[in-house]
Amino acid sequence: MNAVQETPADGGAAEMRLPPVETRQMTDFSFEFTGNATEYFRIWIVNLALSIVTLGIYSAWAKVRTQRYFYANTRVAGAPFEYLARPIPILKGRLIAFVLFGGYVLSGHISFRVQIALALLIAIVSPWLIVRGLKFRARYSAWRSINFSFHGGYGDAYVNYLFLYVLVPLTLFIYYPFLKGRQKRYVVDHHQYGTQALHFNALNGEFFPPYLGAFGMMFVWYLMVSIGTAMLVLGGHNASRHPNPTMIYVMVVVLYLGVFLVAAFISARINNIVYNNIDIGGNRLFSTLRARDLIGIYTVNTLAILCSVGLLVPWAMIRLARYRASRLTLLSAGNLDTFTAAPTSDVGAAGSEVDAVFDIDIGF
Amino acid sequence: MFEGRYYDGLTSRATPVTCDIAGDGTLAVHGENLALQMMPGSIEVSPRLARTFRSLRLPNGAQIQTEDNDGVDAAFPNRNRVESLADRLERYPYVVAASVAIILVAAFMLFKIAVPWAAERAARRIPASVEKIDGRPGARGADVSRAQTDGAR
Repeated sequence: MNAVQETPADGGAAEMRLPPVETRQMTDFSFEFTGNATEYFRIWIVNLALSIVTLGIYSAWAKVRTQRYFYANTRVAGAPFEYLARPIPILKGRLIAFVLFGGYVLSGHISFRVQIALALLIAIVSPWLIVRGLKFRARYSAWRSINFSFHGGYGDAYVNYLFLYVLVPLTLFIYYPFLKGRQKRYVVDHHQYGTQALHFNALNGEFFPPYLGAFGMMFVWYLMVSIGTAMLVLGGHNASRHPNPTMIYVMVVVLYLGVFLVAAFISARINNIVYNNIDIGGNRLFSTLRARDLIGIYTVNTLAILCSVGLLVPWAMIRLARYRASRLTLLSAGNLDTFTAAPTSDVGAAGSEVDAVFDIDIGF
Repeated sequence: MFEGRYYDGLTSRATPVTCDIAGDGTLAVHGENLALQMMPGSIEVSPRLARTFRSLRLPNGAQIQTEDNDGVDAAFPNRNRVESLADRLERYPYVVAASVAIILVAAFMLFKIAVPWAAERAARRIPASVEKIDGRPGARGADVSRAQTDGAR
C-alpha cells in the first residue's frame, strides 16, 4: 500500500496514465491473485470427470467451484472477492440454454429456414439475455460482504446491443468503436457496489484509436500475407494454375495468427480504457495491461495446452489470472470501510447461461 | 475456536473476531465492542474449497470470513454434503489420477466412436447432388497434390 498522487508509479507501463479528474492524495492497493496451478488442477480435473460421469449435471457445481476459486483468490486491500451463486439455479439456467441450443442445432435438420428464424430470434432476445447475465453476475459477486448489482434497463440494452448496429455498415464500420464505447458506458454506469453507483468517465471517441490501430495492423498483415503468398505461388518452381494445398493451409494459419495478435492488442487497450475510467465514489482503478505481455501469455498457454492434450488448461488459466491481477490497482480516495449495502433479491441464471452457450460478449 | 473478519451486513467495515462453540453448543463471536451468541443451525456455511476462505452467514445478515478451514469444519460438521465430498475427492491423489484416466478414455471414445458415428449419420443425410458440388474443390486439390507428388518423383 502506498500513498500516490493520482498516477501510480509503474515501471513497465510508464506510457499509461489515468485520465485527470482532480488532483488529490490517493492510496493505491494492488490486486493480487493467490491461486496456484497444482491446487486448481485438482479442482478442474475432478470437476471435469464428475461432469462427464453425471452426464453434465455436475457441471453446475463445477462452475460454482471454479468461480469461487478464482474470486476468492483475487484480493485487493487485503480482502478477497466472493462468488455467491448457487449450483441449482445455474443447473436450471443450463437446462434452458441446452434446450435452446439443442433446438437451434436440430432445427437445421428440419429446415434451414426454421434454423435461420431461430438464429434471428436469439439475436433479437440477445440484449435481454445480456441484461439478465449482467444482473446475475453482479448480484452474486461481493467484496467485503457488500454485493454488486446491475440496474440497466432493457430499452437501453436494445438500443446499444441491437438497433445501433444498423449504423455500423452504413458508416463503413467507422461507428463501431463509438458503439463499443456506448456499450461499455451502459455496462459500467448501471453497476453499483452496494449503494454506490459506478461512473464511466471515458468519451466514446477514446475507443476509436485502438480500433483504428487494430484495423491498420490487420490491413498491413493481410497485405503482407497476400503479397508473400502471391510471390510464392507465382514465382515458385511449381508455378501452376492450382496452388499447393499445403501452402493454402500455411496461409490460413498465418492469417489467423494475425487475428490472434490483433485480438490481444485490442483486448489490452480496451481493458485499460474501461478500467482506467471507472469511478466508484471517488475511488479509481488503474489497469496497465500490455499487448505484448498478453501475446506472450496467450502464445505460451496455447502451446502448453496443445502439447499437454489440454491437461495444462488450469496452469494457463492461473497464469492469465495472475497477470491480469498484477496489472490492476485500486486507487482509494478515502476510507474503504464506508461503503454501505443495498437490498438484494435473487436473479435467475438463465440469461447468464444462455449467453455463455451462444458466446454473447458481456461484462467490462 | 477460529479467528475471522466480521462484517455487519450494512457496511464494508471489517472487525477482527474470535469464534468458539460454547459448552451449550452455541456459537460465540467476540470482537471489539461485539459479543454475539447463536445456534450453529441458524448459520449458513460456505463449502470448503482448497485453501480459500470460508464465509459464515449469520441470521442477522452479518457475515464472518475466515481462512481457518479446519476450525470451521470442526464447528460445523456434516454441512454441504455434495461440495464436501468434492473437496475430499480433490485432495486424494488417486482420485485425481482416476479423473485423468476418465477424461482420457472419454476423449478417446469421443474421437474414435462418437465423431465417426456422427459423421456417418451426417454423410447419409447429405443429398448426392450437394455431395457432388461440395466435393469438387477438394477432389481438385487432391488431384493437384497427387500430380505434384508424382512430378517430384
